[in-house]
Amino acid sequence: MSQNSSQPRSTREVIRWLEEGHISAVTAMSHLADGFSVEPDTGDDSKVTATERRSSNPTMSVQQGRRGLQKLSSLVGLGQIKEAIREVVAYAHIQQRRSQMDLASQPLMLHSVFSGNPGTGKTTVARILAEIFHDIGVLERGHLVEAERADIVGEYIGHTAQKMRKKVKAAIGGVLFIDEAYSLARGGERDFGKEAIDALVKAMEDRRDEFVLILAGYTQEMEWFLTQNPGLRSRFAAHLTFPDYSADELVRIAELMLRERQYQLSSGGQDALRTVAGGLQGGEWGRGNARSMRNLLERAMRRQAVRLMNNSNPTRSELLTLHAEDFEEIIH
Amino acid sequence: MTRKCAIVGATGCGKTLLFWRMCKMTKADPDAAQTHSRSRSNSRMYSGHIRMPYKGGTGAGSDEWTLIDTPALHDSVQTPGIQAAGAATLRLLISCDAVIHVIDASRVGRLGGRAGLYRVDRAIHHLIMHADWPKLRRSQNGVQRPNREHASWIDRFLPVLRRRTERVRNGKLNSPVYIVAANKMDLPWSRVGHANIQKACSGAVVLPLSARRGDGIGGLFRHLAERRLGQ
Ligand SMILES: Nc1nc2c(ncn2[C@@H]2O[C@H](COP(=O)(O)OP(=O)(O)OP(=O)(O)O)[C@@H](O)[C@H]2O)c(=O)[nH]1
Ligand SMILES: [Mg+2]
Repeated sequence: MSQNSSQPRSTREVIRWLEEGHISAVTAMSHLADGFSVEPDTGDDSKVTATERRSSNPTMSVQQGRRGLQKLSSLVGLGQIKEAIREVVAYAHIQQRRSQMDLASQPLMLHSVFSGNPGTGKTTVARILAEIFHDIGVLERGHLVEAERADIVGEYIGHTAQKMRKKVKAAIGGVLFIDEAYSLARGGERDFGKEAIDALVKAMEDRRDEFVLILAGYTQEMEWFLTQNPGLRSRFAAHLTFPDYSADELVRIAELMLRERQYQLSSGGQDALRTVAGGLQGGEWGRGNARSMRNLLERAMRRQAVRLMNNSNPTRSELLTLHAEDFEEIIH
Repeated sequence: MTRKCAIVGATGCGKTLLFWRMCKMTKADPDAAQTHSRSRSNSRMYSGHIRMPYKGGTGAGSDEWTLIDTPALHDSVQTPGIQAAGAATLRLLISCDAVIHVIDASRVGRLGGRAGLYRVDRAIHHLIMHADWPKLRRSQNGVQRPNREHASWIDRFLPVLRRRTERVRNGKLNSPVYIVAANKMDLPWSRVGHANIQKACSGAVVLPLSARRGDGIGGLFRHLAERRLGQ
């Protein structure tokens, strides 16, 4: 439905879509609350209400799948990643439709490897992907369970397998996202990391269609990790490499972050931000990623606060605005 | 000045019973033209004017409220009639002074966890607590007039809405007074449900009550009177 492929522009438009039956009351309210999406749940209880189950009904799915895809498009940069994901999603969707019409369909292999530096959007994309898979009816719940070494590797024999089973169970119907996955295999002889990998491979085998596994981490280390167990590499359908953000993309990300926090930049501030973004991208003040950008902005906000302390009665516009001098400490 | 209070919620939570109970307790004379029958009332709204005495900082007096029972909001897309009714309900929700959000506490307790709440319940709570209300109300930009069955009661409220629009323009309006009514407290599981609702509806006032027995409704009135706007 054409209405759903774009964001509504006003309250009236949202209500009209509701009135004309294009969206549900839940979706309407989430538009009104702006950017809010009702996700099934990310936590512990495994109950799914009848209505949530019904919403993964295929006749509604094309229309609904657009919402997650829209979120994906709205991310800054990541051109190739988005393209690759659209492909995976389209393929999954069509295979499903084929099987519904009794045409031969390929079993879905959706487990993926996301490699790249920290703060390049891996978790965000994984979360959106979970949502899209839910929208098109591939995953029943569409939530994301994050795990790292400490959640999985245990302290005695058998403990690891048990911890892994627990995580996989929590992720059933959604995505299990293991960050810095290679840390599972690190450690010497007396380490249970090997047990963890075996348990992981077993879970991928046993509960094949019930969850999607995404392993994430630095590119080189992920490469090494995939050689640690012979069956590992071939079990992952997609290998996506997340590039560092360019300076321009970092500026756009920063602008979004500032808008969210209700700050604005003076023209001097804008120049300073560009310098900072250039420096980030060149690796001067940290890596080219969104997280270091956020940290730097927060530092600038603190500098602004200190600057305004000397002013007994700051105006609204003074409170809103970051100037070049607030970035100075970072640049010099 | 008459303020509007909407009773909203998912299907079967007890909105209509609560509406009649509140009207009866204040000897209000609900709109007699819209007779109540559960099957027909599903996509209708009807209203009652209630007067509530209050004792506030500004001295004794009374508040005039128009209480409005609304059709249920649903988790998924429904038949055209129900969709149109949902649209009317959201218009009302955006423009009213107070919202009583009814949730069936016994159902929540029985089903457990977040699964016990309908998705609309979470959406209503989120909308009221987190939307940018001045902006929301500005962008509604008056009320669009739907042609079909809701026209008649919208007509009746138009003058009220216009006055509100002025107040919105003057930047005086924020979010509505929000009360979550944990209903059906007379049934099993409702205590568990009440606790769950409190957890899920963080930041909101949650009042346990039973529309059937009339317990806890006094507290509802007190709250409306204390939190009235525009003074
Ligand atoms: N035990 C008990 N039953 C209640 C209570 N409130 C409502 N009910 C019952 O719950 C059922 C639904 O009540 P309604 O008032 O019609 O619910 P509603 O929210 O108006 O429902 P819709 O208009 O269909 O959305 C009826 O059988 C009521 O008698 C209560 O406090 N306790
Ligand atoms: Mg009713």
